[in-house]
Amino acid sequence: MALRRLNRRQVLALGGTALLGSLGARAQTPKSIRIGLVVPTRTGPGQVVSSMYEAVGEAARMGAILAGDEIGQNAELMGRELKVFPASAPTAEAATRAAERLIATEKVLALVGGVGPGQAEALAKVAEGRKVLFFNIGDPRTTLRDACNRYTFHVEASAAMYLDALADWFVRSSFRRWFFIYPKTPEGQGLYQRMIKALTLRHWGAKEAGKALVAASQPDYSREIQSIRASGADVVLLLLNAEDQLAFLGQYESLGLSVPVTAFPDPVSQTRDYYSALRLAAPKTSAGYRATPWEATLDAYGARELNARFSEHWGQVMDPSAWAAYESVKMLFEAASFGQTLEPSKLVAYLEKPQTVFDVHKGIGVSFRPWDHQLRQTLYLVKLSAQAQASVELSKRRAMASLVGELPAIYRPGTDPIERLDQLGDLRGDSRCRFK
Amino acid sequence: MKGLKRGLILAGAIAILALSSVSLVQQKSPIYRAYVSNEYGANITVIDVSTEAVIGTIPVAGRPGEVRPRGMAVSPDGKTIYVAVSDFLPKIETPEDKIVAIDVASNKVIAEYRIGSNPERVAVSPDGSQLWASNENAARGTGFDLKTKQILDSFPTGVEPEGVAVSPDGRFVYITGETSHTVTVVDAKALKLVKHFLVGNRPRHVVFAPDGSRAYISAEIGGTVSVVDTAQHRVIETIPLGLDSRIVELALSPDGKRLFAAGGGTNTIYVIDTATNKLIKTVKERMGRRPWGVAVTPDGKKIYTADGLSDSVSVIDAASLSVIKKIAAGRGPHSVVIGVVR
Repeated sequence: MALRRLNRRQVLALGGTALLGSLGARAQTPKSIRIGLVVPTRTGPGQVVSSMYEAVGEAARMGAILAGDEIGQNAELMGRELKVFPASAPTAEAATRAAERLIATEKVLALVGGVGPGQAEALAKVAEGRKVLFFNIGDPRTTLRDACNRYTFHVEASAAMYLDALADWFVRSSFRRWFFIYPKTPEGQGLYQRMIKALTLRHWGAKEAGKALVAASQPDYSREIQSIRASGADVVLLLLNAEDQLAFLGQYESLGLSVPVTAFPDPVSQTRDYYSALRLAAPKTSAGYRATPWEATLDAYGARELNARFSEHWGQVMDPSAWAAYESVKMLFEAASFGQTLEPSKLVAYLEKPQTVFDVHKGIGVSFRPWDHQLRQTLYLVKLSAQAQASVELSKRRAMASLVGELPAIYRPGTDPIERLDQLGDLRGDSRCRFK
Repeated sequence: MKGLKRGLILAGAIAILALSSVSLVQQKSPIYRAYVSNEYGANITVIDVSTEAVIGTIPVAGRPGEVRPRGMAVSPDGKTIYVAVSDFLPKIETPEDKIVAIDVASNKVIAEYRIGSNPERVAVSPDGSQLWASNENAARGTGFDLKTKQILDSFPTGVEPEGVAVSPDGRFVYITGETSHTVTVVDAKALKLVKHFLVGNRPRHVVFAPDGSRAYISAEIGGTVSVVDTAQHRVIETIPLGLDSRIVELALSPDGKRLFAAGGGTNTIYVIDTATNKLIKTVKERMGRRPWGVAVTPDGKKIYTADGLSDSVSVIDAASLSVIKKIAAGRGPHSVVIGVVR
């Protein structure tokens, strides 16, 4: 009852003082941990988002704010302060400006972002120049990993991880003949080649049934769809951006093909909003399998509780970018707390240590690969429901997809967790990154 | 003839004595029951420890999968089992958020107590007068007076509080925060928050040594046991069990010399010598899948584990440290405790 005679901050301060004592005099415990979130978000009063990236950024903002509340409360209990500063940036240039402002005025020690074209590169550049940390939550591209920025860490899964997960899932399910649709760009070529590598090196018996190079925003895919029909493929993989996936699937369904289609899961195409759009564009074909780093129906390892708290707080399902932002804030706070430093260079060293593991509500300790700073983690396979209805209602949005698999399976007693997680993505020998 | 008669009388007397001593032994020998909370079955499986037979199933909620019994505790006399039951409406206290009391003798639910929202685990004070619950989604630890049936107070904890234990002298309550890697210390007598301190990654469970000098805290993701000096509430040693061990519940032998850690990730029970804080044995052979709960019988002879993925209970002989029996339980065993009939 004595607690009620003090105000909350006084009580927290008492608890905090005690904690500082418990950590001992061997190191100065950081007091204020300040993190900037730079993503495209809604800025006006309306509820309508003006780009696909805003939906991803908006979810990230909600995840970061929830983490700020929850982890911040915990920080206060321990006599510290955690502050998250959200900034809206619709473009890469705006992201650079926002990041510079947050570093100059709010003294943030880390940036979280990377949603939208060019934003991850822009923030990585600022982080490298200003010697602050950058956690990339929205860009899976290999080129960003190969750029090898010391202060950049990738919470978003890499393209290689996604492709390995898709290859593993479909080949194990006896989908062996693959047809690829990819754009005539270096990035498209890179994805195609990495997928061929995954099938060749890791999945004996899987092979290419055909391929088609397409232009960005191509209006008509009838020729490519005829090629698929003639190929005898078991599965079609779209290595297209989210908008082109929608256009392709609409035409594919109207031409009546039944070969299952899956697609490269960039962050835009992992949201419930996007699933709704898929349902409208191709009601039958969209009811397939997709890879994602987080799923709102995941109910093990504390995920059910996190999903429930998020939905309670925001009235929304927790999309993957919300999860990535939440865990980024959590990991940065823990790195500062356990690493006992606010100095970015020391935080980098702490994050690179093999003993540094984090709990990101996936049931297994995850860590950053020292060779390219990619977070080792499990990915999930979800199945979009054939009965799903596009709706703003929480239960209906949750029911749009359901969890069907975890890759790699974490429950394999007797195997090393790092070795297990390194089944997805590029190993040291495959990476072009060499930190000096 | 006379000698024979005397001999018969003597033999009869010895037989009577022997019979009465047997009956005396029978009367004195304790009867234990193992109680297993089935998270997805919304019920409790009851096992007779002497025969290893399932002797009952006690429903605690009508909505399996939505309402789940998880952590349990036993009254100091062993005669009452307390079960933490909760649903999935975080931060909203509903009728399904409760502590259920079960009478060991009759296996009947005898009371229900409301101790805040989303209680995940529960602990009893050594004098049996207080219950303490970890309120998972509210980030609180709540004390409850069993005599007045009133809440004593509620205290802020780390995020997702889970493990809760009261020190043997009844003075301190330790509550682990799963997501924040913290332990919150509450003075249960003065009802004051004492401190929070960091332990291993994702702390799930806490137990005190019988003499109260040490507390042991499992870290699921860190794969460690933190050894805490309870005089200073400070981690003094960390026992590594491997990142993959994913340990959850802990249990001490009655003499406090052995610590058993349930390694859900490896289907293993880790046995630690508390004098040296070294791992002395891993029990793997014939273990059920994903053991989360672990309990030792009060006589120290057997260890029971709640195996969540195989819907079973494994029984380990404490002398040989080998699995001697597997018993089918309900759906998703979470925890196990031992009640005493007499």
